[in-house]
Amino acid sequence: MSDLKQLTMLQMVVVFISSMIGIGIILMPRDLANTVNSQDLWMSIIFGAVAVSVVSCLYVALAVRYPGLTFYEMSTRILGKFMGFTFNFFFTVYTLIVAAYILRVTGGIIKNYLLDTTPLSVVIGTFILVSMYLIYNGAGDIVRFFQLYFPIMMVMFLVLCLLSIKNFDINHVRPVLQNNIWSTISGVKITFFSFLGMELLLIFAKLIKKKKAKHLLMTMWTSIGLTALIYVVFHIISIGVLGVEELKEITFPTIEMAKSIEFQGFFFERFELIFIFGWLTTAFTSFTAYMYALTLGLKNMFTPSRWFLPVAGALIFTLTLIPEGLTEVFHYSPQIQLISVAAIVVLPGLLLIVSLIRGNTYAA
Amino acid sequence: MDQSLNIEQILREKQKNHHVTIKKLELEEHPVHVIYIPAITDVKQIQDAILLPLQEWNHKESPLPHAFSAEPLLLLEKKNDVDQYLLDGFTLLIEQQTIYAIDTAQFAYRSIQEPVAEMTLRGSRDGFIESLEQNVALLRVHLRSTDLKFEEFTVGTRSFTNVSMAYVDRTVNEELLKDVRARIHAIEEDYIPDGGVMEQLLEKNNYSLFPEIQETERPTKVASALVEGRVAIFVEGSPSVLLAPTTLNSLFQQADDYNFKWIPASLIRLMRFMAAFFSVMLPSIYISLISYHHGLIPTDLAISIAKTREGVPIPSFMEALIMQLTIETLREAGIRLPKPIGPAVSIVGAIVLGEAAVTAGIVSPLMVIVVSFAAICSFTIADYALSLALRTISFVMLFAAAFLGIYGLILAVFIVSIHLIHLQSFSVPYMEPFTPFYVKRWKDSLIRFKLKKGGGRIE
Repeated sequence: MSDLKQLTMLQMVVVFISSMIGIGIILMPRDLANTVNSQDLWMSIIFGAVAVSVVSCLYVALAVRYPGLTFYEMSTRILGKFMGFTFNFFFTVYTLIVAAYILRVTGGIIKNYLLDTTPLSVVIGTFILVSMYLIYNGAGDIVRFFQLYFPIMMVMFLVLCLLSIKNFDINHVRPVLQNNIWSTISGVKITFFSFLGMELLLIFAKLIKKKKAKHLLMTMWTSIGLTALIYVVFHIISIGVLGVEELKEITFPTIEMAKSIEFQGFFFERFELIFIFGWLTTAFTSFTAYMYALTLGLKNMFTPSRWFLPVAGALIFTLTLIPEGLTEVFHYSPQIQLISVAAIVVLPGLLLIVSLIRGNTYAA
Repeated sequence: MDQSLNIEQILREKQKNHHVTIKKLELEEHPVHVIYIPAITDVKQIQDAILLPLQEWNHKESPLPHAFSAEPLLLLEKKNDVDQYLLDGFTLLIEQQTIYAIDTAQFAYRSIQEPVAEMTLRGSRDGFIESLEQNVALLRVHLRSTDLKFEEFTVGTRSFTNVSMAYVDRTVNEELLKDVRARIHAIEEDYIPDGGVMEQLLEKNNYSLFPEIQETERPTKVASALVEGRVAIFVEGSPSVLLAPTTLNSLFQQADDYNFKWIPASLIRLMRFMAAFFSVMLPSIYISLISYHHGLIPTDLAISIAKTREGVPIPSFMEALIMQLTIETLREAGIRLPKPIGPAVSIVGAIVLGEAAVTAGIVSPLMVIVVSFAAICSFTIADYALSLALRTISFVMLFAAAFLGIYGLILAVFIVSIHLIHLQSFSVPYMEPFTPFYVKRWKDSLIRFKLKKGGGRIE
């Protein structure tokens, strides 16, 4: 087991961006187009980023008060054994659901675009096994893996953006801010969830020994800002290439956008492969981050803790196979969002309030 | 075992061995025995430096050591020492109950030649040979520093192989030295035939495909590694010197990279990385496109591929597997054959076999192109241990591609990178400087940045 002693700021930014960008980049354009219904939908992302930045203050406050502790250890320390266990259980269930959700959507896309006759269980089974191998090697290796693939991912996205410029129609985007601003702001309830992953600060806090609040806040905001930038660029290009009306209809608009690229005179005329590779990496990183959180949660709640990596894998595998199709998965979205808000806003908020009232910090 | 010296017993033992010469000199009724092994000693030196002075020596005037002014005499006290020195090429002198040893060693070695496995266009052409002493001398030619230090070890419970660890003082990490020393001391093997065996005995990741220690036959390579703070391990009787720690990046570096201007040298290095990637991935990408994702191939190309595959009776995965195995067999055959016959095999293999297989319609011409290009790419990897690792992985990739197409390939790439990230060579991460990310070390990684004038050392 090799473990990093302490994360640098750059490493943290990489970890957060890798955890945040996942299935959101594929699913969000359609949801947003349906909710906001105007070419201003990319502005909702900025509002969402602002909302998330405010919430992230909660995590920073907790991480600074309890350096070197994960969410699971914090909650038992603040609330005592029983209430702490309840909180941990809820958070673990949340990570399980998110991991399964990411995996189900990923599996669906892989089946849709790459392997249409392969059984879903094989696709997600192999995915989980590879992720388990990475988690088995320890948190330090997870961070290093994210770091290794981060530049590759960014280059892929950049290439895709540059290649799409040819199909870009400025008129699809043009009347900016003509729309009702309230409907744009209402898009926040979708964009907020595309930033899921920043709550993992409370998990990777294990690797953050003693950091100043200012630094942590800067790190969080840089990651959220960069993620928002990537989302905004992608959405503007999606709108420009496909148009809002088309965005509403297509299940995976971003992939369709990549598919529409035609670049004559090059050996490969099809670029969705590049996109799928880049995106599969992001899906893998965010899935691994959540599965790591799940494993850690299980290990924290139950003893003996040795066998919880395969247990986590089995749980995710089972939960992923329950829904019949992607439509059923999307049907559960509101419930999942409710659980997410409870887990990432309400729980840390309560923890912070109780901790402030009791005043017991790490030193006490 | 009895370690005390019994002169009669030693003499009797040595007389049984026909390779040992024993000369008895009666110097005025004061006998002196001279024992040596002619095969590994300089007989002329014995004549001039031992026998002649002995003739003139008078035992009543001065003790025996005084008779020899040039060579130092060693006084032996243990029976094991007697055998050891004799086998090291020393000449033993027995006077009554005392035994002395004089260094007269002259082992048979080949002369210094250019290393066969590591070719360069420019730069020094000397390569290490089988003599530890000569190798150290060669290194001294390239690195004349008082900071260059050596530590001696004896490894092998039967072979007593001399092993020497070299490092540059004040540059090397003390922890690394401790680690290497501990690993050398831990070896419990009868016989160390070569550097390659030593390498495996020193390695910790026995189940990894990737070499944890780099092997080289070039003194310049060792010198530059030592200056960078690495450790070199010399093994008596082996021309390959071991360098530790090793990173993936260092395995791709070649001496020629530094001998040419930095822009072309960097481009060539980039190409080498690309070639390594293709040698592993190209056949498997090809079969995954053919058997799973026809849609991703441009239409014109797809049609021409379909035409070439017309009438090929076996599935593309089997086709690729057979071709890859054939190439590996050819390569192995080429190595084992005597030099004059080697090229003949490649001609038979490449032209006759490939051409005939295509004409007979067993394999498609495109598959031959893909597999042979991948093979050519793999020749750019100079380090043979790394090339072996990548070739093994390319087979794994073939299976992954046959099983799950491009998706399987991506997962397989993930697995390999997870393994590489986890791997450490003497506590140094194998993927350093890529991850952990050291921007400063990037100037000698994917590209080779221009050399600093004014003697800047790359830290």
